[in-house]
Amino acid sequence: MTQAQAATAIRVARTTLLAIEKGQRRWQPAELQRLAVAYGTSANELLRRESVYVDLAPRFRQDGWYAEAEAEEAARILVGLVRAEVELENLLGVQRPRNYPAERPLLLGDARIQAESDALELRQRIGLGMAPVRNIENLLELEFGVRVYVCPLPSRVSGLFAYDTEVGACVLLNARHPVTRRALTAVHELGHLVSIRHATSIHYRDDRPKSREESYADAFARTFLMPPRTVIEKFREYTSGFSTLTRRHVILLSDTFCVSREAMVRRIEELKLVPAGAWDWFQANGGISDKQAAEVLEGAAPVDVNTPRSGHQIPSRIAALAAEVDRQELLSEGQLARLLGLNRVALRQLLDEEAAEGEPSAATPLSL
Amino acid sequence: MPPRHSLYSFAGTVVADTSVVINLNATGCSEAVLAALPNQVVVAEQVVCELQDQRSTQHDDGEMLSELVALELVKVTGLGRNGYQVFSELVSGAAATTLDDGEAATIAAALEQGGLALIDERKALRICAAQFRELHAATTVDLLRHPQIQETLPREQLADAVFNAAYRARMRVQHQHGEWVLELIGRERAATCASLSRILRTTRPPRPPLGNEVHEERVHHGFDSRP
Repeated sequence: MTQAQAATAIRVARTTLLAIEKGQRRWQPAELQRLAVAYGTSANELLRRESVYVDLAPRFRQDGWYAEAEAEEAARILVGLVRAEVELENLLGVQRPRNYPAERPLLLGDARIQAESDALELRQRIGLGMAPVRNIENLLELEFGVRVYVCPLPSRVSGLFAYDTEVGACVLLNARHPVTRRALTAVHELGHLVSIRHATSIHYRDDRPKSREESYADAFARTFLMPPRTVIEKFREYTSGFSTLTRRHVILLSDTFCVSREAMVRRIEELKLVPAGAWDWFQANGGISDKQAAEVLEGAAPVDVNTPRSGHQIPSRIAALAAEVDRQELLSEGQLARLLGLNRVALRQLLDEEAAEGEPSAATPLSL
Repeated sequence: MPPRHSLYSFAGTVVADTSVVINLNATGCSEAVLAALPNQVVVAEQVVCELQDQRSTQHDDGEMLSELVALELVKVTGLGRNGYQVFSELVSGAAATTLDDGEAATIAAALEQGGLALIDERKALRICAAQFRELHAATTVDLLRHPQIQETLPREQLADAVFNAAYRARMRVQHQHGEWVLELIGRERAATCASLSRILRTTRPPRPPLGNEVHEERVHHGFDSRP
């Protein structure tokens, strides 16, 4: 907004606005309120002591990610969620511990090899050994203290990563992608936390040229989720007695490692367990459908626990914080609605759902 | 804390908050309700802004309010110097003692104009009771219980209005109004409103007449007084 536009918005002369900016004249309450409206916020949001200022946006611009409207929208969603969560935590006195992995800045040489080494080192450090990871989103949150959000994003955006010294590491994943696909994106963002902590990144679902940092993160994700030795062992186990790779093998392997079928096949191609082009062959020959997967797995598909419920699109962790803040009357309905970016009825729905979850059940009495 | 209201004997201006306008719109008969009310109803400019910004999937509350204004059932009011003084106090400072702009402007306008604040927000009602003891406040349900409205609207229409507000807008109902709401709309309809689940749980259903009760006890315990 230009100075002239701001002056028009608050109904003063430009010279008056200049005097206010220089501290020669104080804001009148009406002027501040009009300016807040012009900026799509409220006077209370600007003046409330606990309001959190998180400005990840300029960092996105500096990194050159604002070329596309989708990226801007995704970044706006991330900033809104972080602001809301941090303010709610502060109001409730909730401390979020951080246990980030050691930084491993990119060195000269092959980024992919560094990534594989760093991924295996991290698995060992947190005691995963060679076992598959069943819920990477919860691992990021509970093990490392990363703020992880799952929301609908423009379909080309897979995820975002940002880091701020005040609020910590933040990852936003696309709820429109299946949980198996999101797993790879989540660990890709973990790779950024390890290698380029103080930069931001937006991960796209397409074939645009990759920087060293993106190549590192991709390789980190593949190795972390599908460590070579475990993949080889499981591959041998499932394909024993067979001379060709079947759909059933792919389904079992991808379920074991909780990744998408495409990611699984490309990994076993990379490890040279099958010839290059195996996935392309499946795609050219009818693909591998969800129905086929359900038949092989007898309906036991991966459970997506982190996608927001119903229509309000607020992550369940933030919804729970909001419900407690409402219960304690720390914020009003108007304040909460604005903080969460919800209309009043959607906020009431969220609070009703949280209240229903918290209601005591006659069938499950606690024995203390 | 229940609001201090004398709405039923109050002849002055009633200043409605965003929460109340949304509930009234959801009743499906806001025009009839407002026309029956003996008071002038106003909304603060800040409330108009909020409603125009609402991206409600079910109602276009901003547009519906504009229609009510066009029909002169509602007026839009600004704040004067004193009103803005109160407004500033209510929007700046610690979260515990502040409100969002619409809520603050509603209280400020009611104080400035010697009116009554119509507001459902619990924290706002608490702040009113603590900081502005001279201000009377009431809720949407208080409004719908107004004797004039009960006299003017057929009971069935009033029941539908209350049900619609609870169902579509998830209107909040304070505990002291629970029995009246349940008696009006019925427990079966109330059970379909998520916002009334706590009222339903904490309000006992009406007991059956005494004769039936004794008969049921005898059957249950196998007691039979017949020879």
